Amino acid sequence: MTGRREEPRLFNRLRVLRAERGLSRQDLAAALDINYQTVGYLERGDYNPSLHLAFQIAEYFELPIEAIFSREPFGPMSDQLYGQEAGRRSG
Amino acid sequence: MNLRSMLMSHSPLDGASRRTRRLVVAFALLGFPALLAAWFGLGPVLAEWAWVLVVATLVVCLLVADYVLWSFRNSMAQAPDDQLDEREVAVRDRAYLESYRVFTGFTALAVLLAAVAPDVLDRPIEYTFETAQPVFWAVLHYALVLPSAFVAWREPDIDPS
Repeated sequence: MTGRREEPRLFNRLRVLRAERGLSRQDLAAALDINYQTVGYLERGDYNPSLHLAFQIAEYFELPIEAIFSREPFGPMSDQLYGQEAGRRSG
Repeated sequence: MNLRSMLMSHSPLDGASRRTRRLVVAFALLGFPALLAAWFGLGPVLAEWAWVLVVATLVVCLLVADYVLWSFRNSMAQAPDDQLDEREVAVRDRAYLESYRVFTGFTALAVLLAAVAPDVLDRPIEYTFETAQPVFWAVLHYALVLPSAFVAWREPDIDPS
């Protein structure tokens, strides 16, 4: 007998994006028309959003979907930003 | 705000810890057999007023437990799709699937026991209004409370951050 199928973990930057914009969970939940507890589930990675909700989130933050969700853990944003900056300068 | 949303929008369990919720779930599920035991078993043992007091207390406590479970987090276990978000719909559907499995399992076991009981006890079982009543109330109670119980048992505590 096989065990319960494990859903693959989806990593996201929701908490950082929400903090950057000074939004509470309630604010984001109201904008996305979801329960504020669901925002917590999403941020903790306890719940993987549907494709529809993921696109809705991307549209709300005006970012490409891959900037918010990833199958690999995100590194710190500063590393990515300054890493690219340093790469451009040296290139 | 209509009457349903007024009654169902807040449950005393909404902000309760998972431990407290699990205690209420355990009471709602185990309280019914306890009520039956008190109803049928304590009559000859206790004075009539004491028996009425015990049975009435258990009935009221069970009704309260059922209500707070039923109304838990906007009646998540009963609400239609358009009142829930996608995670809540998934939680509700999973609760119904598990309730169905548990309910059918116990019902099948009860039917099997009822079928073999006359042979085991070596006497026929009389199916009267009095014997049918607990079965009716058990089916009604568990069919109504099981999905809510699964949701209340499983939902984590509210994260305040």
